[in-house]
Amino acid sequence: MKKYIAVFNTALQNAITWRGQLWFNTILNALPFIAYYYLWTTVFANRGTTAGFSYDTLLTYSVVALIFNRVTSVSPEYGIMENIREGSLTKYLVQPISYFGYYWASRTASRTFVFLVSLPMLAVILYVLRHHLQVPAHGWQWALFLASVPVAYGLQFVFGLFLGFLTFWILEARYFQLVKGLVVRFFSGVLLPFAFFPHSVQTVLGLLPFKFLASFPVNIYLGKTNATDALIGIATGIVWIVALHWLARRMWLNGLKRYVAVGH
Amino acid sequence: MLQWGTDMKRYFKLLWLFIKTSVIREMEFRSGFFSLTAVLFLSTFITVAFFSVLYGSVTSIHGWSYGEALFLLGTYFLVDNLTSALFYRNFSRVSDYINEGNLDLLLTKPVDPQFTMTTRYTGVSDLLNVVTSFIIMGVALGKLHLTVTFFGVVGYLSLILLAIAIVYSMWLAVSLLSFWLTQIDDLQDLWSGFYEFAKYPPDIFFGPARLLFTFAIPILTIVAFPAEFILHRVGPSSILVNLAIAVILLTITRIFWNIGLRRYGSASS
Repeated sequence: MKKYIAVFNTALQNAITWRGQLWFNTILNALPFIAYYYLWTTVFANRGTTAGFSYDTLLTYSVVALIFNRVTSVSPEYGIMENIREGSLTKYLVQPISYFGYYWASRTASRTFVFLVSLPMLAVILYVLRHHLQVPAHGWQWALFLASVPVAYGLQFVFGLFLGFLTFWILEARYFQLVKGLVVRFFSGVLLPFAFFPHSVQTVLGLLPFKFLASFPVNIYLGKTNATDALIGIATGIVWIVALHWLARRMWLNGLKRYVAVGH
Repeated sequence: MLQWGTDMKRYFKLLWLFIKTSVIREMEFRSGFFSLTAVLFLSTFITVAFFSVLYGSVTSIHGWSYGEALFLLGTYFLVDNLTSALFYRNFSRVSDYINEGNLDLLLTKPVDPQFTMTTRYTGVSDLLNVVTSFIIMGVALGKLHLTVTFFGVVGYLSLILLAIAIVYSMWLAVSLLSFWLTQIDDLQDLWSGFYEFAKYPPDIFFGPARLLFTFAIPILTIVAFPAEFILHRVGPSSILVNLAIAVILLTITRIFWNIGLRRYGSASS
């Protein structure tokens, strides 16, 4: 455990050293909030409810979903793809450290840092929209909403592992990371709540694990899910993580047999 | 005048050679080319799906029907694909040229270094995805039952050319910040982040955002004017407005380039 804490600390220091980029990221991350504010205000401000959402609920949905997505979007695939493609994976294989554990620790560190520096921007957004944003009525909503943060984080991480290990078979898998964010935001309900989709699509989306990345937690936050369903959902999410993590490990073991350590 | 003509001819010939070598280059890594093409298609599809789902719940967004919004989206992708094809690979290298001193090589050649730096590489996948934007616009026109006149096409194409010029100068201006700031890889994302606003009907923006995106960062006019010209929402004066914006921005970027060049210290080589 001690060595993973060391990895966490090093990665955190690394993130702090390269903080110049973060100012740009802060501006960039504020842009979707601005887009949604104008879109929902123009389209829904003077309507009653659309697909079961009032204007304030919809605005709250988008803000909470965007923040939730930002906090949980961990992407280990960036480093993994480079390691496999350029042969630097060897370095990790010969060291007495678990490759999975290394990425868990280092990515969690950089996510923590990104979250901390985006707090001022979030504060401004929450302040500007304070008259519209809703807060959960019950304590259990807060508890289960927060409990779904690690579930989403774990799923995002496992998706990243899949994408990363794909590089063992397809060297150009790095292009897929360009759309990973967009695909996830669409199928998880960040872009639009599931209630806007046709019923048949809603059924499919409900069966896929993407919903745990936005739709499911935000619905708990808004009180659109009852406590029992929320608990069952979180349990289902954990089962998904365990199953997919097992699959990712199989992929890793099979992929290693193909690994040729280019250039090393 | 004669000198100017031969110069132009020389630059067009060079541009043609640059595009040709880029195609040859990308065809060497064919699986990469196919993956990238598939990825671009997927991201286009998702954005179209977003608007289709949204219009499932509303019939109009501030006076824009589904067909009109779709036509705007097609135009958004057209400008996006053309500018990505022409500039992305070049502008993402600007910081390397400057920070690693590779700009030296361009400065010694008998060609304007700004020209070589900004046109050397073309993205073939993006160019291929232009087809998708025409399909989207075709579907939109079908929904609108709109006949497009010859005059409309000429106006549209002129506005697209001006859009490319405007995007060129704004994107380059952002990339040229590398003369002052080192170690910033995300400048490209800053541009594309702002460009995303152009996919929404321009009328949804009001107050300060409307002013900002029309005058300071004219993202709304780049995409909206060509689309609105075909949809008979704006007249020929839009061409004059964008022409003025393009000339002003190209001049500012050129001045910016010259100031930056004076700061260039030819690092490490």
